[in-house]
Amino acid sequence: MLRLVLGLGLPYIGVVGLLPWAASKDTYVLGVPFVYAWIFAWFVLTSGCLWLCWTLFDRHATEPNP
Amino acid sequence: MASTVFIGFIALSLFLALRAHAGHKSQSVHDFFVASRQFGTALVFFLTAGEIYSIGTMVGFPGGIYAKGPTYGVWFLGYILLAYPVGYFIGPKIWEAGKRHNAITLPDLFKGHFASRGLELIVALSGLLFLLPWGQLQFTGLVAALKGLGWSVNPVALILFSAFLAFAYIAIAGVRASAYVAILKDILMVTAIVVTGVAVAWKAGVGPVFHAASQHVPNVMNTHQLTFAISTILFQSLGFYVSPFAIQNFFTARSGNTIRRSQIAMPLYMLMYPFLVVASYYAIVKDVALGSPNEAFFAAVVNLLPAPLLGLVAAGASLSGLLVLMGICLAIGPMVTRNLLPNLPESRQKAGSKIAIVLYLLLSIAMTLATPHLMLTLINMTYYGITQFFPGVIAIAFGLRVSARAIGSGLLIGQLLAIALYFINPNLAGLNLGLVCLAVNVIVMAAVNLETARSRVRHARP
Repeated sequence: MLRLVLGLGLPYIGVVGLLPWAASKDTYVLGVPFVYAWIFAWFVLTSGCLWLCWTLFDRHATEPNP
Repeated sequence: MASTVFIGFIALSLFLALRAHAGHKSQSVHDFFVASRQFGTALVFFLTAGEIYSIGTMVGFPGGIYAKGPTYGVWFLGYILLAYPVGYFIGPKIWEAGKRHNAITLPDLFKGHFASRGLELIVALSGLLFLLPWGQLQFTGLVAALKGLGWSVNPVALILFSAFLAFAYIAIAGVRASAYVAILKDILMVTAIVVTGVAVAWKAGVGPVFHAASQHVPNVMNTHQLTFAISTILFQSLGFYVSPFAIQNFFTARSGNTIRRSQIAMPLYMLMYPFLVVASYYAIVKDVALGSPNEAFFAAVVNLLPAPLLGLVAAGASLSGLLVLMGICLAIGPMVTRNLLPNLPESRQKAGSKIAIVLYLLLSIAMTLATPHLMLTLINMTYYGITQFFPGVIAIAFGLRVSARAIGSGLLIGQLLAIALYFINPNLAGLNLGLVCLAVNVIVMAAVNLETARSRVRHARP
C-alpha cells in the first residue's frame, strides 16, 4: 500500500493535485516561469519516487506484488 | 551538406534494421511481433521512448506552446509524465497476463482472459478504427518538419517514400528493427533538441526568452484551462499504456522487472523538454515570422545551427515519424490476421500481416493526401476511444471477476458516447469529454456485471 502511495500517489498529487496552486504563481525560477519549473522538477521527482518503490519494495520481492 | 548528413543517418538506420535481422534468420510470428519476449531493460526503454515521442514532440508541442503558452504545455507534459507510474504498476501485470495467454496483440489478451470471441472482435475493430488518424499524423508532421527546415520537398513523394521505408524496416526484422532504429532515433532527437535549446540559451538567454514569451502568452491558468489540464492529464495518463502498440511493446520485455526498471528511467528522458521549450520560444524573442506555429522549433534550428546539424535534426524528425508509423503497422498487422480473420494458422500470419500493413499504409497515404485536415482534427478521438480499453485491461491485469458482457457493454458505450460527444461538442466547462465517457464506461460495466452476477445466482437457486 505504501508502495502505491509512494509510486503512484505522490506523482499524481504533485502534478495534478498541486497544479492549481502551481499554475497560479506568476513568478520566475531561474528565469523560467513557475509552472514550467514545477513540471520539470516533477520529471526528476517522479523518477525518484519510482526508484524508491523499486529499491524499497520490488527489487527484493520474489512473489509478484499485487 | 545538410542533405548529405541526413541521407547518411537514414542509411545508418537501414543498416541498423538489417543488423536487427542478423541471427534471427527466420522469425516466427512471436519473434517478429514481440521479439519472443527477449528484450532487456535498455531495448525496452529505447523502443518505448522511441514510439512515445513521435513527430508531435518536434512539431505539435512547440507549435502549441508558441501559440498558447505554458498552459498548453502543462497538460501535454503532465499526462506523459504520469503515464510512467501507471506503467510501472500495471505494465508488469499486463506482461504476466500476456505470457499466461501467449498473447501478441491487445485483443489476444481479451480473448485469452475472457474467452470471448465477441470481445476480441470489438477490441480489434475499435482499436483499428481509432488508430487510423495516428498514422496519418506522422505523415503530415513529417511534411511540416521538413518544410519548417526550409527544404522544399514534394509532399506526395515524401509520404510515399517514408511509407516505403517504414514497410521495408518492418519486413526486414519486425519489432527488432523498431528497437534498433529507436536507439538511433532517440539519440538523434535528444541531441537535436538539447543542442538547439543550448544554442538559443546562448544567443538570447533563458530569462529574456521567457520574458518575451510572456508578453504574448500568459503564464498562469484560468479555471477553464485548469479543468481541461487536470481532466486531460488524468484521462490520457490512463489511456497511454492501453493502446494496442503500447501493449505489444510491453510484451517484448524479458520480465516484469524489466518493465519496472525501464519505467523508472522514463521520466528522466523528459528532461529534454526544457530545452525544447526554450528553443520553441526563440521565434517570439527574435520576432521571426512563422508560416505556421508548427515551425516554432525549426525556426531556431534554421537560424542558429550550422548545416550539418540541420541534417541531423531532419534525420531525427524523420525517424520519429517513421518509428511511430512502424509501431502502428506492427500493431495493426497482427490484429487483422490474428484477431479479425478467424483461424489463420501462425505460419501464414506473418505474410498476412505484411499484406494488411501495405493496405493500411496505402489507405493512410490516400487519406493524408485527400483529407489532410480532417484526420488531424480526429486525433483527439484516438485517445477518447482507446482509453476506453482501460477498465478491461485492469480487469485482466489484476484478475478481477468481471464478465465479458460487462466489459464489452462499458467499452462500446464509452466509445460510442465519445464519438457522439465529439461531434455534438457540448459545453463541459473544460472537462475532458473522454474522462466523462470513461466514467460512464465504468458505471455501465459495474451495472451489467452486477446484473450478470445476480442472474447467475437466480438461475443457480434450486
